Amino acid sequence: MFFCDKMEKVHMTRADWTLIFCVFAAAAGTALFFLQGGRIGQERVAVVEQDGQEVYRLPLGEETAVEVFWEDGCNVVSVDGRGVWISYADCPDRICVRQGKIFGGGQSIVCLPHRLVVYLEGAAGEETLDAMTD
Amino acid sequence: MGKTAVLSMLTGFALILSYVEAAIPLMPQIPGVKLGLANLATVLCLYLYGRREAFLVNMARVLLVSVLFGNLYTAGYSLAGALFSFTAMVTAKRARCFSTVGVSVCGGVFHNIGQLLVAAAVTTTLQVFYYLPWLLLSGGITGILIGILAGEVLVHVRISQGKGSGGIRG
Ligand SMILES: [Zn+2]
Repeated sequence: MFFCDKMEKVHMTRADWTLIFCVFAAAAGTALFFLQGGRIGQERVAVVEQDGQEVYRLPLGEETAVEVFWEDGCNVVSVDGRGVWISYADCPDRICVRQGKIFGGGQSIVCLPHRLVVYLEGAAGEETLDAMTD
Repeated sequence: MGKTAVLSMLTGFALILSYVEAAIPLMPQIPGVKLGLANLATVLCLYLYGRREAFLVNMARVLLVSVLFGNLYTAGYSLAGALFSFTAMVTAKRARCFSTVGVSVCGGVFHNIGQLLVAAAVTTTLQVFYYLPWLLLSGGITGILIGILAGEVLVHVRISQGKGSGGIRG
């Protein structure tokens, strides 16, 4: 009874096809947006403070660097799409350079001789997603 | 077969489908995101009986699946997905311009969107929406397949009813 001889096909309507097209176009569009480096949610910003004063705010994204001067010395603070790091410093200890890149989650980079503090502000991104699965 | 019997049968069918799809982890990062196979039972119920009956079967499924295979945490996700998907399908069916395929695609896509919204609320981050493209794609594909399947079943059910063979046969 269930498998009848008279086979009829489902009649898909024009609206069906339009909807399917829209869903797949939206999937492709959002995928392309993210693959091109599109970000969502709160923009992450690297904050550079010197002697307690905020001197730079660098949004994460394209790789850029700024020079921060202190008396005779200087630090170069670099950012890319994922984090911030100090790429050059002429301070005596170079601890700041050796600290490497930070990705958020409450971390900060400190250069005591140049009274420099660098940290990230904004949504934690990947870290939050990882925490979810635990 | 009486209506209650058919509705129980559809609920049982939905349970089996839920069990099958629980074995296929689609996206382990977001609990409760599934292929959406169980939607077949909801679509059938929606067309055979109506909104009220489909809603009952849907809720019975979410409750039983949570008790049998899940926990309280996944229950929230399942419920949100089920409610979103159900509302979308009822609205699409009312528009009267879609076949079972369009209705079921709406259900599949909105099921996943509902779960993403719950995930975003739970984690208080919008970053979960990076999964949107993949969820739209999977929701769309399962929606199409289930829509075609539901359409075939309904055609046969109507034919067997037309021949006076005593209503719906399993
Ligand atoms: Zn230093």
